Amino acid sequence: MNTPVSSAHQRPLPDPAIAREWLSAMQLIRRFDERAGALYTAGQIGGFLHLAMGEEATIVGAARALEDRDWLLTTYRSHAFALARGTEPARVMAELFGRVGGVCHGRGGAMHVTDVERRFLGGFGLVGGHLPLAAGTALASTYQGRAEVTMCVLGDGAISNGTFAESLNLSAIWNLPVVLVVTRSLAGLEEPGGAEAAAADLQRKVEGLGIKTLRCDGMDVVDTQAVCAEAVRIARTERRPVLVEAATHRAPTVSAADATLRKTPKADVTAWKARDPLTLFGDRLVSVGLVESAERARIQMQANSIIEQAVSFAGRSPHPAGASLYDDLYVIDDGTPDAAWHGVDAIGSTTQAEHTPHAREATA
Amino acid sequence: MSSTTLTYRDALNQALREELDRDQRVLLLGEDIGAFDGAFKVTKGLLADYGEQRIRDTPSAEGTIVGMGIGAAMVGLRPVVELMTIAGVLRALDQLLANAAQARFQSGGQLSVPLVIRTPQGGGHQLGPTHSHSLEALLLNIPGLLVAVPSTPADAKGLLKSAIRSENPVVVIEHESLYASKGEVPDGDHLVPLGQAVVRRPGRDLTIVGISRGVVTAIEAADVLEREHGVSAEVIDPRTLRPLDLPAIIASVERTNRLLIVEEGWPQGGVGASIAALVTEHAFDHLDGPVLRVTGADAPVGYSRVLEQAAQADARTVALAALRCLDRA
Repeated sequence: MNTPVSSAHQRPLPDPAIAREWLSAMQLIRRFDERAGALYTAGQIGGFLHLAMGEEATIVGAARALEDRDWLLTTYRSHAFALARGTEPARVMAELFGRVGGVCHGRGGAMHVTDVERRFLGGFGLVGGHLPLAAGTALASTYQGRAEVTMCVLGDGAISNGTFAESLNLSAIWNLPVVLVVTRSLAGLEEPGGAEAAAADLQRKVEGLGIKTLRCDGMDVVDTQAVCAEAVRIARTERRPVLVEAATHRAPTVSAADATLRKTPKADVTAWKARDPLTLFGDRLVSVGLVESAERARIQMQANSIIEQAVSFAGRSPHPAGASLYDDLYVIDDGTPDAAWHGVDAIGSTTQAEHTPHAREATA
Repeated sequence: MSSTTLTYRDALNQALREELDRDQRVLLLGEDIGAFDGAFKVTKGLLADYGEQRIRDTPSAEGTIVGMGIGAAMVGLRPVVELMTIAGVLRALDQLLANAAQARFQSGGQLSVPLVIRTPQGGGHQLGPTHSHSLEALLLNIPGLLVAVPSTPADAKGLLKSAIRSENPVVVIEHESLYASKGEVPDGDHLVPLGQAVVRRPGRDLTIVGISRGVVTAIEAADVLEREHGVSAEVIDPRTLRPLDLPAIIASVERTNRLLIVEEGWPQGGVGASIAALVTEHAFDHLDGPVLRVTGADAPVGYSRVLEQAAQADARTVALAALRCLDRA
């Protein structure tokens, strides 16, 4: 069974400055989602938008277990991980708007936010598709003798994908320093993943591979950070894969749509609010005197202000030009005749006339 | 530059050795490439000479091996992944399309995937329908990938070395029936630029574009045409399908005004279909007749020697198609 860690065994809080930073980071993600959800409904944001509401403790706790040199790959809930990793909210919001000012210049969208400078290799849109890549980055770290760790965040849907078995097997036989953080949704009463996974107990599922499993309460940022930090320590020092099972309870809406929330039974909303990780963590910090109510309010105001600036920046950022479609498709290799990159489009293609190879600057 | 007569297989081996020597970031992943020297012995002796950190035997998990290569490439390595048969590419197609081909685009240029996939294709060894196909058209279809199809030992070496040095993901498709073929291979740092076609045999009366082993068949057919029909055929080898040296093909068509394409893959949505469409669109005024194709049969490749041969055209069939191209058959 996957019972969340009981709050009766709460871990001690970290230093006040650290605790306040975690609260600020969670608040920022919450406010971002509140605004992004509304903007999605208003049609400013297209495609899919998978909100992270309720998962802030898991996201911030996991991200704060990493050092700057560590690599991070996540599910399509990537906007929130980018924020946790420190990407400017304005560039994340502009990405959701599909604008040039977006961190991926509007080419990836909410599911594929990437910030390589912060070693966030991206959100990945296809379930389980990033697991082999995480094993590959861990292989590169080992091969080059660097002590980096790779963290790979996946949902419990991915445990039934073939990549899970294949990647864990290779990570185990090659002793790769990768931490897999599996978010298990406990929104319903049923056994998580029970309908889809013959072996829903992750610990039993992977113990035959010799992979250690740790569990954390993904609704508690302190517990999540502590358990993920332990997993990262094991991966870094012992050079082997570790799996963390994080029990989460996202707000009763999967993709951004206020309409979904409205249709949700009131009891479910009430139940979630009672477990809201942001509220609970803030309450705890206030109750022990680590944060005063006024400062908590100030943190909220500051998040609101940053996100309003982000929305403003995103709205002002230009749309990409249609002719930029070919940018960053290839790195134009030295020695390859420029003409060879042209002419492969059909004559009737919309951008053929404007097509010039752009990628050369990017290689400089 | 001096040269040595080598087999296609040994030319590939030489390319791998030279790049392993030149660049510590190069490492090889693949099924049975180490202790077994590779299914077609291309990696012979590499494990002994470069060690198990750089020559890594993998389980049969093609999608994940390719995905690991992508991840390692994103953070600074230059992995070369060998898939034992092009059927393995099908298992890895998701990784090649969703991640290798699109990572750079999707990240707004932040990521690069300097990855090489090596895999053999083509029939001729009675391996039945799962192991005998020519699937370059599937890979050609994907923007973001590069596709090389070497037909000579010299190109096998030069294209593989260029592929390893490319910042882009490159699939190098070798041909099972060419591994033992021999040719002059330049010694030392021989690089063939990706996207540069070559005229294998100059001619005046028609252009034959050959793909992979189709080049070899086209050259044989050109000999038959000259000897028996007094026809002068020009044979062009694009060498890479992406980037495609369309200007070189069009320049030849401007001289000959006739075009035949020879490939072993399936006809529907094939490489020849694509080239025929492009030449028709870009150089219609230079054509004196319809572009024709010789392709693999529109059916699976059978195990029986007879069925296997029935699936592929020989030089005589290509010569006949060339005569039809010239309204002479």
